[in-house]
Amino acid sequence: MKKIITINLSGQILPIEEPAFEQLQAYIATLRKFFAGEEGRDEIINDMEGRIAELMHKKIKKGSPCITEADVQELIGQMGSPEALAQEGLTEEKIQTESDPSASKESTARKDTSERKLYRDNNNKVIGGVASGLAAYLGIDPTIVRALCVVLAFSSGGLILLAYILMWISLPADRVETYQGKRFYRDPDNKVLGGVAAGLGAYFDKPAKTIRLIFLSPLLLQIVFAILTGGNADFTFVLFNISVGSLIFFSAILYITLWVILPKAITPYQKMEMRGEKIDLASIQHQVRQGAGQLKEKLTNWSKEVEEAANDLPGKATDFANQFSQRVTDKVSEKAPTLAGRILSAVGLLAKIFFAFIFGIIAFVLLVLLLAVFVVGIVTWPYQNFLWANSSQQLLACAALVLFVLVPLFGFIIWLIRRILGYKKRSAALRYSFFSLWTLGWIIVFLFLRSIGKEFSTQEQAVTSVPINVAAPSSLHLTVSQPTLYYSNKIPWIHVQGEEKGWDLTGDSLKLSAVVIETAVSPDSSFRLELIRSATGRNKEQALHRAEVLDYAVNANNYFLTGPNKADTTVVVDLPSYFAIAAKDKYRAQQVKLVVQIPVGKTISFDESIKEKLTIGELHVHYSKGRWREVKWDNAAFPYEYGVVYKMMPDGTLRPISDTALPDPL
Amino acid sequence: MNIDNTQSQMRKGILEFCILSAIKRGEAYPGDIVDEMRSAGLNILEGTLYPLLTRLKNAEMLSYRWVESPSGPPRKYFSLTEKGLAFYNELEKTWKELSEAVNKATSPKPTNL
Repeated sequence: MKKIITINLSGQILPIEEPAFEQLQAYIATLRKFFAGEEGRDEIINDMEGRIAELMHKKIKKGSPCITEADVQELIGQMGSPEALAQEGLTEEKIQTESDPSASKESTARKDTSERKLYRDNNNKVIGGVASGLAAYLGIDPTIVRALCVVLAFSSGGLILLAYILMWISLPADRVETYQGKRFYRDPDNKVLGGVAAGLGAYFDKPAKTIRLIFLSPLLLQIVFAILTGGNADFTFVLFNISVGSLIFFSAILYITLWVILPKAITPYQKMEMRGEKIDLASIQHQVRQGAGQLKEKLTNWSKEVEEAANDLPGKATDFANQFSQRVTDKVSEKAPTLAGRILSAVGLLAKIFFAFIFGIIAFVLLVLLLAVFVVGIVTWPYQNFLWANSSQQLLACAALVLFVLVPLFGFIIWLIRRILGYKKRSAALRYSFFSLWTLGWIIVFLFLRSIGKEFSTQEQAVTSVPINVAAPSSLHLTVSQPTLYYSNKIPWIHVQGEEKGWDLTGDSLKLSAVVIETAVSPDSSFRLELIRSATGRNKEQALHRAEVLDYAVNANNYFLTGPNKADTTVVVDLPSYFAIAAKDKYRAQQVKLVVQIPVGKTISFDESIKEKLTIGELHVHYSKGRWREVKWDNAAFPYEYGVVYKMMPDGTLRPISDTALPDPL
Repeated sequence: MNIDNTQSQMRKGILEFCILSAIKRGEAYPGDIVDEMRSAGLNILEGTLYPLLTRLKNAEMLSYRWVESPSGPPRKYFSLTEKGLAFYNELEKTWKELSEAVNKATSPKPTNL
């Protein structure tokens, strides 16, 4: 007894004997091959499947319990086997090959797998047929090649696009026999969201649930760990959270990309293609082993082809240009019958081409810029504690990032994918929603910058004098005894090389070694040290408070004796190697300046450590009338040499009096 | 001389004309057209019909609409476009001239008295 299965053919549920179904499957596959060169192949096959379904339905209605092998034979007789159809002289190619025997030889040679060559696929193209041709050459599903192209186009920074264009120009176009076998589809019958998981499940012969679980696993992991940590953002979990977070992002992006890029399996043939043959590890291994043997040969052939192509590239380029200009003139002349009209429309067309070109470049540059901004945004993420004054500002920042940066990025990706999939029709809804979101992004960015700008609008100084607890010193020696400030690597995803000196960042404090040192003449006969701490804020009180809480303790209590009889006292002014800003105080252009007042005739010297351990320079922030006027970092060259003793002259300048190094302080 | 080939060439040319004329009489779906051809004594494989219809449709000679069917999947009902009608009239004219000429050329010459 033969097994009877139920199939869904063009929406008709039909009982059919299993061998009969296999026969039908084989018949449709041969038809597909037979019509491979035909323009509307898929439509023809769909129509024929529909008709077969109708005829079978009639049979069942008449009382047959199921479709038998004999029924299928009869159907094939009625519809025509490929051989019979060829006899009818049906397709254009067949007639051509019959009239031209030499052409027929060539075309059969091309279809022979042993002499497979790389062509652009004219038959199954979306843009230039390069991906499809490549897929046919490698014997894989064109969808895979296309998806890879899209992914690589983003990660390779346009290199793939260039390669694509080069291949488009250099490869000859031909009607390539399309890939036969298992293909990726979305399964509309089993869908929950887009049928992506169901389609992948059918392809890999796994239940759709498993695939869905894989897609959802990062999210589930996140939830589980959120429960485990009790919502506490423990520092050890931050790294983990970030990696899981990016996995969620990745799986969502992957799902959406597949959703857009995979075709729906509608016809029974497509469904068969989707399930295809069973793929297990053994068969993959077999294919890999087989492929490796052929790879060398393929590469040699391919390099030869590339060489040949390179040889006649100039000719190709000329042809391409000629064809293109021909197309342009055709388009122009078909549009406007009068001469004036022709000129006008030619100008219009040229303008269009010009603008498309310019906008293409601008769009690309913008994309690169936006990506850079996005990356910088992620890198500076830990600074957020130091930047946002409150949570609404933080929200504003996130909204600005998403709407201003991610929305156009997504828009561009979707546009590219739609273009690649050949959707000519523009989606007005998509366009308007993207533009309105982006406009909103602009507004939010503006509001955000204003809000942040206000935070820097008022600058205040806290001036204190550092006591020198040594009687009648004759000289000052400025030094930094604290160890050099290095980045402590506390933020796991910030790694810097060559820039780790002079700053540090942890969860609760930002340390900077930027200090300004100024010298001046003392009005009387004593040394004076004036510490000026400054900060900005929304108002005076805020700015002043920030300046006052800035911790920078200069110590001028130690001294050593110098001079011929150890009669001179040199005060050691020990500067901390950094000042720290607490996260709760926020970063608001805090700065430290030390003004050293030297009496005329007295001396000062600077230790090497000043140069080694401090970043001498000043940040100028100038904000007024609601606008940024100036934000400038002055990497001021320190005018004095280290290890040299300078004497204050009556005219207020410092002059070196010896270039012998000072003895080491005790 | 390949007789099969000549026959199929002749049939192919005529087939297009016959299909257009069947559709000209009123909207038809491929099943109708095949039945009509058969009843007229022109035995064609259905497989030849679909590519022809698709090609004519792509050349804007035909348009179609989907009609739900009580027995089986929805059917494509084809009708002639204006371009298709003009094309049909051309074909008809050519056919009339041709068949007249062929009749004359192939019929035995009347003997002159």
